Amino acid sequence: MENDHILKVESLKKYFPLRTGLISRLAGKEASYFRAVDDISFHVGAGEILGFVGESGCGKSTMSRTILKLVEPSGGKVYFNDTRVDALGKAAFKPYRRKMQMIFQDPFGSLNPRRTVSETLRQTIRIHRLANDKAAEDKLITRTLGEVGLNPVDEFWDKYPALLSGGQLQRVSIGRVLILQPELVIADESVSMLDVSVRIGILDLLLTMRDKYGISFIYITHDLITARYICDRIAIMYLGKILEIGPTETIINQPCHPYTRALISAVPVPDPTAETPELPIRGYVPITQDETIGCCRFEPRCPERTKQCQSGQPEMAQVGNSHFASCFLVDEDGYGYDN
Amino acid sequence: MALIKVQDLKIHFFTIRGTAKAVDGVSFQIQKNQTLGLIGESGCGKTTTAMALMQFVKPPGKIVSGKILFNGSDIVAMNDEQIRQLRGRDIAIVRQEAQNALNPVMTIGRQITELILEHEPVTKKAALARAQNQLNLVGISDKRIDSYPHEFSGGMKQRAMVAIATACNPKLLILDEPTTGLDVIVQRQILSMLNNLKEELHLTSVFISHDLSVVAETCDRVAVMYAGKLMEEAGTVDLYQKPLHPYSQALIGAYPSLKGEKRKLVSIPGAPPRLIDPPLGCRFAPRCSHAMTECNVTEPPIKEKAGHRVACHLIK
Repeated sequence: MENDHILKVESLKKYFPLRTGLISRLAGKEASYFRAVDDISFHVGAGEILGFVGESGCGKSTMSRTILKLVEPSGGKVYFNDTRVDALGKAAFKPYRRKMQMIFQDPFGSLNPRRTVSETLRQTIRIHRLANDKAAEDKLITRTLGEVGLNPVDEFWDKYPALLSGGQLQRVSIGRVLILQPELVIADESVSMLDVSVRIGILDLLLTMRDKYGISFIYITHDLITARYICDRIAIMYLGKILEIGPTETIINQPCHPYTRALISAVPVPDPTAETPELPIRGYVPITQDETIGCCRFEPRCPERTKQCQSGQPEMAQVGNSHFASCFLVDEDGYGYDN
Repeated sequence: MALIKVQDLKIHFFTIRGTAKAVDGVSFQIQKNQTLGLIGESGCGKTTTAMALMQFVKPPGKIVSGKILFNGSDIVAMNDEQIRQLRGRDIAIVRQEAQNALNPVMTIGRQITELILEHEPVTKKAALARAQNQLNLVGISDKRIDSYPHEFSGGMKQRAMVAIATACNPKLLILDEPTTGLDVIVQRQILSMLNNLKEELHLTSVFISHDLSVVAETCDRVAVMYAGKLMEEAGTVDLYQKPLHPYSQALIGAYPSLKGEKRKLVSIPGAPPRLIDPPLGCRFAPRCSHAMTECNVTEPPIKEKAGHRVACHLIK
C-alpha cells in the first residue's frame, strides 16, 4: 500500500441536477446543478480516524455515500488500498462492500424493528457467508455482542429494537459492522441522536475497534467536541468544499481558516462563568448556491473577506505540518497569517 | 419572587403493562425574570414536567396529585376554559424541531397574528404590525411575513417559533430542547437571540435540555432530574462548580469540552430504571458508585442549604 493509505480520494464530485422548467429548457437555459460535493481530495491512513466537521448541507453525508457508491459519483477518483473503485460495476464492487462499511445516525431507523438482535446479526452472517452452521453462527453472534458491550449476552439475544435504548441500538449496529471485519468504517453522525452521557461510551467503542483491529474511520459530525475526542485529523467542510484539514489539536488550537475559527467560537462551553465570545461570522448558510458560484464558498459570510475572495475558490495551501487551508489570506509561502 | 411553584407533582402514565411513574413527587420554583434549566437524560421526565405547566399531559398520562401555582392559581385545578386562556397568552412553548409545530399551509405572519387576535382585542392591522415586530425581534426580516414555513431553513423555523411564542408577551416561556439538532453556529445565533429577548421582554423561562453546555450559558438555576425524581437543584455556577449529587457529578464528568486538556471521560454505566416498577429507595442507586445499603431501601429526602437542594443520603 502506497504511503499506508487505505483510502485516497481525488477531486471527488457529486452534482445533483436541479429541475429546470420545460420552457426554460426549450429556451436553451442550461441545466443547473446543486454541487453537493465539489472537488474534494483527501486520504485516510491505515488505522487513522479522520473527522469531517461541517454544518448541515455542507456535503459530508453525500460524500460518504458517494465513496461507498450508495450514490454514483459525478466525477473524481476513489482508491481503496490503491485499487481504483469508483468506476467498478456492481458485481466487481461487491467484495469491497464488506471492507467499507457505515454506521448511521438514527439508531431507531437503522434496525429492522421486526428482527431481534440476534436475528439481525444472523442475517448479516448469512448474507456474507461468514459461518458454516448454526452453532458457528451462534458463536459469532455471542462474541460480537460481547465485543460491543451488550452484556450479559443472553439478556439482549431475543430483544426487539423497541425495547432497547438509543445507545444499545447503536451498539447493535456497530456489532453488525464489526462482524464483517471491515477495514474502513464511515460513522455518519453516529452519536448525534444519543444523550450526551451515552456518547462517550459509543465513542470509546469506536476507539477500541481502531486500537484492537486497526480499522480506519471517517467520522462525520457537526459537533467539534466529539470530533476532538476521537479524531486524529479533522477536515472542515463547507458547501461541498474542504476549507481546512489538519491534525486535531492543531485545528482546535491554531485554526487557520476564518470559518474554522467561527465554528470553534460557536461551541458552547459547560462553564457558566465563561464569557461568551462574539461570533465572527455574518448571516446564515445560503439556501441556494447561486450566491457563491465563482467565488470562495465562504465569502458571503466571511468577516475577513477581501475583493480577491470573489475571484474563485483558493487552492489548498500548506500552512503547517500536515495542515492545509483554502484561503487567500494564507501566505504564498504557505505559512499561516497573523494568528 | 416566585412566578411558578410546583409542589409535589406526580404524573403517571396508565398503560396496559402497568403504571409508569414518569414524574413522581417533583417540587421546585421558578423565580420571576429568571431562567430555570431542567436537565436529565432521555426519559427522566423533564419534558413531561414542563408540559404539565400548561396542562399538556397526553393520555394515558394524567396529573394524579400535586399543585402548580401560577400567580396563586393552581394550574392543575383549572378547567378547560381557564387553561385555554392561559396557553399562548400567559404561558407559551417553543419545542424541538419547529417544523412539526408550524402549520405548513399558513404563512408565518398569519400564524403570529392568529395567536394575537385569539387572545387580545386588537384590530387585524395592529396585529399585523406586531407580527412584523416579532419577526424583527428574532432576527428575521419582516419582509418574510408572507413566507411559508418550508421556505425557511431549520434555524429560521426555530426562530419563527420563538416569534410566535412571544407574540403575546407571555409571563412564562417554556423552551423544550430548542436548539437540539441544529448546527453549532445556528445554535449560537439562536441562544444569543434568546438572551437578548430575555432582557428586552423580561422573560421568565424554563429551558429543557440534555446539553450541559447550552444550559450553562442560558440558565440562572438548574434542576437535575432522573427517572421522574428531582436529584439536585441549585444556581448554575454552584451546580457546575460544586455538584453534590453523584448523578450530577457523573453528568458533568461525562461532558467533554473543546478547550483545555483532553481528559479521560467516564460514561455512566447501565441505563435508567423502568418507570413501571422503579427500584425501592433512591432511583439512581443501581448505577451509583457511592451507593450504600440505605440507598436501596429508603428514598432520600430533599435537603436544602443556601439555595442548594439535593436528594442524596450521602449529604448530611
